[in-house]
Amino acid sequence: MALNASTISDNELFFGHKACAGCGGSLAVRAALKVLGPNAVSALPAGCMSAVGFNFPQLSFANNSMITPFAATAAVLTGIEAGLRAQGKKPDDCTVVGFAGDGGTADIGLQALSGAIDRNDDVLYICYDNEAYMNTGIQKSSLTPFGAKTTTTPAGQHVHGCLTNKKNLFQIVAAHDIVYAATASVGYLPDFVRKVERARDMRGTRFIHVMAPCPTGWGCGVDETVDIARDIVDTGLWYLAEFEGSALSGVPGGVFKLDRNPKEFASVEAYLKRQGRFRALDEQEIAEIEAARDAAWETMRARWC
Amino acid sequence: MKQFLSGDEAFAEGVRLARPQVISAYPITPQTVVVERLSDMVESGQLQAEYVHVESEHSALSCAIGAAATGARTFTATSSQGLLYMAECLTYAAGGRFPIVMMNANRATALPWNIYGDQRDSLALLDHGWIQAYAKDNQEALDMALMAYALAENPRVMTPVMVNLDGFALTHTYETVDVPDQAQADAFLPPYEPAANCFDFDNPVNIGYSAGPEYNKYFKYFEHHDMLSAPTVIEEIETRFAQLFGRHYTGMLETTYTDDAEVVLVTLGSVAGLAQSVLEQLREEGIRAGLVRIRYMRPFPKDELTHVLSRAKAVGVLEKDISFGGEGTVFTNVNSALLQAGMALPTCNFIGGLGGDDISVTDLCDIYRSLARMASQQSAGDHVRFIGIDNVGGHE
Amino acid sequence: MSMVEVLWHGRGGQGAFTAARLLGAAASLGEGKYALAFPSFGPERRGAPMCAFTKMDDAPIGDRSAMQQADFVVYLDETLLGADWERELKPGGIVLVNSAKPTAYFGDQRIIALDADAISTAYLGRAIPNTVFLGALCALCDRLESIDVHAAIRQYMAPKLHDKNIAVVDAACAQARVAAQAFGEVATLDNAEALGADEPTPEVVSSQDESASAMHPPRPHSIICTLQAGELDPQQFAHTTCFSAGHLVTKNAGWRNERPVINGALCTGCYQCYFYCPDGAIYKAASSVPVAVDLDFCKGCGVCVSVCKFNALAMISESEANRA
Repeated sequence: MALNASTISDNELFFGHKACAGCGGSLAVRAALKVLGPNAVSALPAGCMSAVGFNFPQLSFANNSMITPFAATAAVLTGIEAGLRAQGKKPDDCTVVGFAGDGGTADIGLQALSGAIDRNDDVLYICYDNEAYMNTGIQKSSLTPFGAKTTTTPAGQHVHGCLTNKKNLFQIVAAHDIVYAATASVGYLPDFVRKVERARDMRGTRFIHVMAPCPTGWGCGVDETVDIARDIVDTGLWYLAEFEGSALSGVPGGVFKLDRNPKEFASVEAYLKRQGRFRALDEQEIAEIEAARDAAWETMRARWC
Repeated sequence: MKQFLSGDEAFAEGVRLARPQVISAYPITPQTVVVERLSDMVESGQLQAEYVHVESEHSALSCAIGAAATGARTFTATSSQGLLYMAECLTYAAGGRFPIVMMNANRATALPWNIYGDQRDSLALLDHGWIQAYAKDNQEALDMALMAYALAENPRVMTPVMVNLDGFALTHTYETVDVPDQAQADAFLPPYEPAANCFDFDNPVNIGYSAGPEYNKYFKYFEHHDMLSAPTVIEEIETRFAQLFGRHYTGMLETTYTDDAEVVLVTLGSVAGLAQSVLEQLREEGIRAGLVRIRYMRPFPKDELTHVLSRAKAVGVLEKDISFGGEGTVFTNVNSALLQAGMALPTCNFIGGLGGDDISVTDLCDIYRSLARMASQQSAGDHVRFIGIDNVGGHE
Repeated sequence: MSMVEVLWHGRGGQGAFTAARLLGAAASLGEGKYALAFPSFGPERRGAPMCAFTKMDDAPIGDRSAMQQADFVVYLDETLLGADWERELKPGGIVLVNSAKPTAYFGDQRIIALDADAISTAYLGRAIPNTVFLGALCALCDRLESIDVHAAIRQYMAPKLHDKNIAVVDAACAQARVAAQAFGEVATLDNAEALGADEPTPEVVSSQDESASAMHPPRPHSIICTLQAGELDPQQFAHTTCFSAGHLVTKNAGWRNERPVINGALCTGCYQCYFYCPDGAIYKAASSVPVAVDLDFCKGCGVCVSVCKFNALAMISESEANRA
């Protein structure tokens, strides 16, 4: 049965947290835990969701959950899974799941993530991507997109924000021939929930990269989180895709699949202009962003459809 | 059963007998043999454990933390830069009160890059909340592996334990070791059954949260307070160990001739064996020499130490370590204990064995003779002396 | 002159600390003048209640701890003005509150209301109330000259903000002088009406401090983090960092200045508002309206309104909700 707003569990396993109003990351964690259920064991590194989720004595996870060293989300997941299995203590419906941000995943946590995928440990890793180090106050990560203003990539007279492109994390993960990987957005929650459900019911390492806007860091209204998370997909600046590794697909090297292939993209300019972080971009830079998008989609459409 | 084993191999045997359920480790010289042997044991079925090939020391300890949070008995091992690389995880393990046992092969820290033994690595991390034990020989290394679990898992202690073996001098040196049989080991160390501090599917828990200023102090207070239970628990464990295995250990310290000694050398690790060997000769020379080997640096055996030094007229501290710009870390700790006990006597720090440098019988005799001079003159002269360094300017 | 202390109450993102900092800068420009400014330390979350502090003195200030009582307590958001406001006020101190209501409404001669949203909107085009109170403090605090506040703005704000904010400060200073003159007269409720209070409300009670749960229809039976009462004993909790999952001790009280209200006639029960709520504050209700809002935990983000295709939800201001 496909999960949707009506059929998803009433459990609120991530509740009472102190995330900013309109936080996309907290929506991703809340929705994922509804799918994974109360026997999920979650682990979170230093970052927004652990900072707002567990501050003793306010403990906002109703399931077994723990904090990890920043770089070590995947390694701790491995340990939890191995420990439960070694003792025969792992319930059938137990998913060992990590929730880490973009910096915790694509920067400091990438090595540990790579190790876990390499070992094909039976864990689900969910990266909630708000495109900067938001917990420390909006600093650039390797998933910060070109042109975004952060406190370490200021938009001034000389430079208009972040000069590097967003690291291609999804394909880096897929290149490990991971069992299953997917991208998602909290703007398209049924798609995200479906992918979490799929991942839940597989064994081996699974990875989901979910776009989770941060109104504080992106410079938009707190009520715009979901809308902007749809907009980023509709503009083609983010994409909804899945990768099934060779073990799952039976195809050497695995198979990519685009879950959403818009005939026409929504306006990139409008998307950028509604966010304070892109305010300094000029026409040429916006054109560059569009061109990069088009090039990426040309490849994706050629190879993933 | 008697076997001729290196320190690494002996420790691996000790770990096998403790039946850890999850082992995560990353290779580094001179620790490597431990994890190789354990891999073989898992492969052959001698040891039923999940062996996780982590991609770094940081992940090695993080994985052990995750496993410990499920209530599993865990093991990891490292050395030198590897220990420093996992340093932040040491505080997670200690603050989380996970009873992890880790072997550290004591090795110099870079730069210059050097793979040989000294104690700079573990002593640099003395303040990270782990109980630190230092073995003298391979038999003690094996026995400490077993006893470390009993200590770490004791409900009064609940603190991770690092057992240190001098790189090469112990890890790669072979000697006869008595390896207990599994039934005896099982009788000594039953399976780990955590009363709390682990995931529970009937009553879920959150583990390892943040805590603001009004709560943090309590966690830190008990982290300290509970480690102070270790000396009593160690005594209980060693009594039981002696009953089962017939080998007697002496708690926080091991002393030789301290009852009547005027000059006492305090040291730790395998060099104590060498120091012991010169005591007779010195006594024939008329120097009433004694030796204290620190077996546990944390918790620091303050009271035990000042008790055995109560008759000394001069105290030397020999360590393979220097806290640059200060003095040897062990020396600082010893002096602090003496001062707090109101014992004003000359003390001197002998720094040697850095980067695997040899400490000879002659060096030790010279140390004791200079201590004897200090005792008669009631003055220490230079408080920090480097063994084997002459005429390089600035010293002696 | 002894130390003057200012305690700023705001929500993350409202600029309370910016104001505290500008105030400190202005107050320490002169020779022999000293100030400290700092926020309540720790992770700041947009919308979450937070504090900032300014200390001003004629000598270097050694005490860097948060003040318990202040000469001026400023509320950038009137919903933060709770029933126990007096606790933080020194004898002779003054409370400044951002409110469209007249000062008389608050019924206490120590509370002065300023419509900082209106003043800032007039000059900045947006309601950014923080610098209004810098102007107000120029009028009320002897230590502070508006010329120094202007200088601080020029030194520490972006150039394009200088003129507008200086205009805000001057306008606020003028209004505060008027308010200060009337200050002594707003002594009792009896004359409140005479002074133009359209609705006398003797009690200042933050709507979000008190549980609204009595009015909530029940949540469906499910697993959820729940509020726990009772003292925590360090002997019990501090030997490990392991504790009951889902143990809550606080609501998200005070996070909102708006709340969602549901129009039952338009609600179709599609549950999108419930599905997309980042806080799980909207839930399926077994009542005539299919969903309900848990006001103990709603932070007022408005995502629910944005995802409702049937216009069945709308945000209303907390003060409006309180009147209703």
